[in-house]
Amino acid sequence: MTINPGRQKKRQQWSSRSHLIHIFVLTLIVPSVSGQGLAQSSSPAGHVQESRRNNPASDENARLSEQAQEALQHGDYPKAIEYLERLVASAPGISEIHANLASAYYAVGRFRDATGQAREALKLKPSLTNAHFILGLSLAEGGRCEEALPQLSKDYLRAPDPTMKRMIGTDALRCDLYLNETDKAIELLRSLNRDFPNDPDVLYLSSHVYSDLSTQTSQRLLATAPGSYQAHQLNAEFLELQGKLAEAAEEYRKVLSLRPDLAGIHYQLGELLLAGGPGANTIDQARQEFEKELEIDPRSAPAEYELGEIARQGRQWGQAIDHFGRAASFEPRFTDALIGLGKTLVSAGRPQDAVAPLERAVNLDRDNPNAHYQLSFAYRRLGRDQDAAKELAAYRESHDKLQNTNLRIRSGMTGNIAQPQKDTPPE
Amino acid sequence: MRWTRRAFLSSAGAAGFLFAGGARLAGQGMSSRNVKASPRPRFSGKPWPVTFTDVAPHAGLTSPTVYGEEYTKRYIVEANGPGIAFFDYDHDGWPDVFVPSGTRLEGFTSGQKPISHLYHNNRDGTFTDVSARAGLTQSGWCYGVCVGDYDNDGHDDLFLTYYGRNVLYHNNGDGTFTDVTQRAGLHESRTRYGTGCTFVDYNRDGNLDLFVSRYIDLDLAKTPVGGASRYCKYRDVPVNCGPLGLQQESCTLYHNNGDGTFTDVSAEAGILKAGSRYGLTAVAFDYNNDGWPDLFVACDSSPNLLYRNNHDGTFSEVGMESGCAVSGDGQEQANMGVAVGDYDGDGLLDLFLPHFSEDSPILYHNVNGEFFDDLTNAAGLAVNTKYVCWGVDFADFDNDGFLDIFHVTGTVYPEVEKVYPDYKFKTPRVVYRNLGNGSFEEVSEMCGAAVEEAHSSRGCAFGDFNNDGNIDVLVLNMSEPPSLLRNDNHSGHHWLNIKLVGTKSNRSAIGARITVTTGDRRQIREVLSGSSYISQSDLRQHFGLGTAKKADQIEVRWPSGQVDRINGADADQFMVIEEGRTKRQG
Repeated sequence: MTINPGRQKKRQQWSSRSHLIHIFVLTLIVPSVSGQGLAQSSSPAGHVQESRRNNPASDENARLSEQAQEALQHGDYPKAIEYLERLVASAPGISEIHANLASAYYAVGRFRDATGQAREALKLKPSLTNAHFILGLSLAEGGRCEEALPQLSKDYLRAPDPTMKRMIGTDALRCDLYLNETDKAIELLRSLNRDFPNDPDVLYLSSHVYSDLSTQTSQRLLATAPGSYQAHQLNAEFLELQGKLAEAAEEYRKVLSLRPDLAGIHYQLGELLLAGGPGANTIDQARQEFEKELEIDPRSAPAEYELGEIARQGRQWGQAIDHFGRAASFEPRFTDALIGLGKTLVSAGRPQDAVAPLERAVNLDRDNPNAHYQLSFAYRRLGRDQDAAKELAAYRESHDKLQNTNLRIRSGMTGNIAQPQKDTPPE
Repeated sequence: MRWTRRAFLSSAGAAGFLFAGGARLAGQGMSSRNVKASPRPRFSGKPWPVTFTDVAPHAGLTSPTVYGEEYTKRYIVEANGPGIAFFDYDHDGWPDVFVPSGTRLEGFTSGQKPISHLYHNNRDGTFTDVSARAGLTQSGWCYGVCVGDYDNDGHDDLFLTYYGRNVLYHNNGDGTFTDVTQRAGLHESRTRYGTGCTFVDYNRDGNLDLFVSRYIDLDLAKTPVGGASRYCKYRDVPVNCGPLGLQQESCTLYHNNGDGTFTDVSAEAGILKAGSRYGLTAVAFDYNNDGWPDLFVACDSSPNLLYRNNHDGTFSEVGMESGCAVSGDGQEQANMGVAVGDYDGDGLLDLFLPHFSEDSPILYHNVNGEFFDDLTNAAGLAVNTKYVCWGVDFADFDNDGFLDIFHVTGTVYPEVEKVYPDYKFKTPRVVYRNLGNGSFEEVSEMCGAAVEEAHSSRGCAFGDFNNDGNIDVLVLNMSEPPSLLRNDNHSGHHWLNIKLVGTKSNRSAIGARITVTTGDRRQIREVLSGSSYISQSDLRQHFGLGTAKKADQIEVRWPSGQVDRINGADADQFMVIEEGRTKRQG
């Protein structure tokens, strides 16, 4: 199993994020150029003035150094490269210049050149950690994942800056995926989600990892057991997701021909019938499927729930109450079943009995506006006006919250983009 | 929340899930729950004896309703459109027709301005346009229409809402009308977006008061145009904005001073306490059977309003508490029109409101006069979600004694059809037959070509225009002449048609409750001003009696509190019942 079809796409995605490197570059130590050629200073500007006094030949290097620094600060990487290349030619023994040039190359997407300069920097000064970081990133972005991964794995643990750590982590993850290192990818994904729980990039990658894993395993299933009921079931589920309901039903029927007693399939057929929309005998057919499901699995909460809904829609309150009640007893955390039960009890004129399931639904899912709404009704019908008002207020709050969430999703899709996480990962 | 499998599947689908379900609801100008139609119950197999024939062209109802450009609607004011009325202005027992008109944003040159039309019923199936003679020649964005004899002079008057300034026309009793808005104290000092209206004697003093709903606080100069925000797109096509994203408006209650003038009592009556909404159709009816009229406002994309009459000149807004403000699962819907009727014969008036596309209509079953239960699915009425729906009413088309449902449709976004040909600007009418067991089934396809014809319709009114004992339907079509759907009912069932005349109560008898008993069945009707979609239906009340050749008893509960009873009325007649005594119409 490979994920080759995705490689081209992944490479494009990598290149598109090199603009982030300005954060990375600015965190590098900016060297000064002294008359002695190799000294560093913690005060570059002061050191440049000192070197100018000592050696006129160093004036040019000092000027180039200042210009490179300024270009880097302004994100003008082509200019920075121009100055840094001249500095490297003039003072090839300064590791920081190589490191900065590597960063500038990285920023403009010249990953091979960046890799070379990072290696040069490390030859001169193996302890220059930022050069390690840029080396790993450049190798990864250049598609040389085999070489990059050992570097990135080490760097992820020691990177001090959250932005840098996130970049290294996500590149390492991409390399794991590129090399089909599934176990390592999952392990790293756990770390990334722990360190950056709300980061869009990490969430996006997580979706891809799990999706890729799903694709891999499903393809393996289809390749190794093509005629199995599991293969048909999986195929049916994919078809259902694609909205090909008739084809999905056909696949589910194949499952039943192979395993007539398999739990869940009649239920899914019933669901498909209901999802198919209006039809002459749809409800009767769906009901039959749910009843068959219960013959196979007498404790199927979803089947009981659907039968409850069908009965409720037919104003058969007693039957609906029985079905919803069983669904809720089989799955005590089944909020929809509790709401269905409460709602039906209210319709049947038994609001006093509706309170318990609806209160439980509210406790299980406090953000569910429907649960609050139905509970407010039950209270109101019992004359518990204060409780009803409280629930109605909770309904309004959760309803508005849900609407705002939807609005935020929509806003995101129309241009308001969440920012990458920049704060320090939790301990 | 526990995910049912169906819920999971509908919200999954990889990245596409973000655009499904609730997220989409928030991204357009109208509220829609984005639901699929429910499966249809098995067809009953019962024959349906009713077909409708559009006789408007033959009848002389030929003036098209101008309402902005036909296929481009820059602002919502051009898109929503007006109601319509059956209005027996000359009290000859033959319903006349009033068709409101709009205008265009760029205006018209003098002499070319479109006007509303009053058509006189010639009693032979045809009508004569008497607008000019009647003095009803004002041009503008006319929206709602309601009828009531506010000065108890025996002639029903006409109130019209406008995007602009509302107008009260006094019926002079000689075929002419006089604009008395200013004199009556109903003049508005600024442009407002009036929509629904209903005459109502809320304090039961015998004088009709007036309630007006409003839609948006709209200043076109400050209103964005298509595509400007998420509320100005539908399926990503730029369309007119709103109502979501625009400022909601408040309703007004005018007290009738008994001297031909009115006073705004909205604040002291508690109307303003409920705040603003996108108010459309207003109707007054007694939902809790306490003998006092309550007020209901169907609100677009915001919770409906139900004002309970406190019997002391004030109201309490109880829409949310009583369960008729939002859907049964607590979601706002785009309520345009409202039907009021006791569909299940339990003696309580229920509500039916159809909605925007990708949402089902809603049937609010009145449980006990205090609460409403969403029984849409249970009643088999969640089977249509593809139309944008407007005028609507309960009416017994086959005279079997059970109220059926009729509603009209038509989108507000003609631009969308240019991009998505499946999204039609003009769509057909919808008819549901009452099966007599609390549920309905759609019979639109059995009602003939006039129902299946596509129009972009808005208001519709109900009444027996040709006095043949069958309820007909008058429909307003945008940029077209109205439709007059003659009910050709071959059921052979019997019927009764009753006109009420108040003496102590208001002369129009608005708010009076009629109960007709045949055998063990009791049917109720209430005389309503306004309803459907900002429209006025015939004030006479029609009852189907099925195979019964007589009504065992007719009981009238008048707004004054008086109760009149008539025992043993023959079927198939038009009756006039005057408060305190009865007489038969010739």
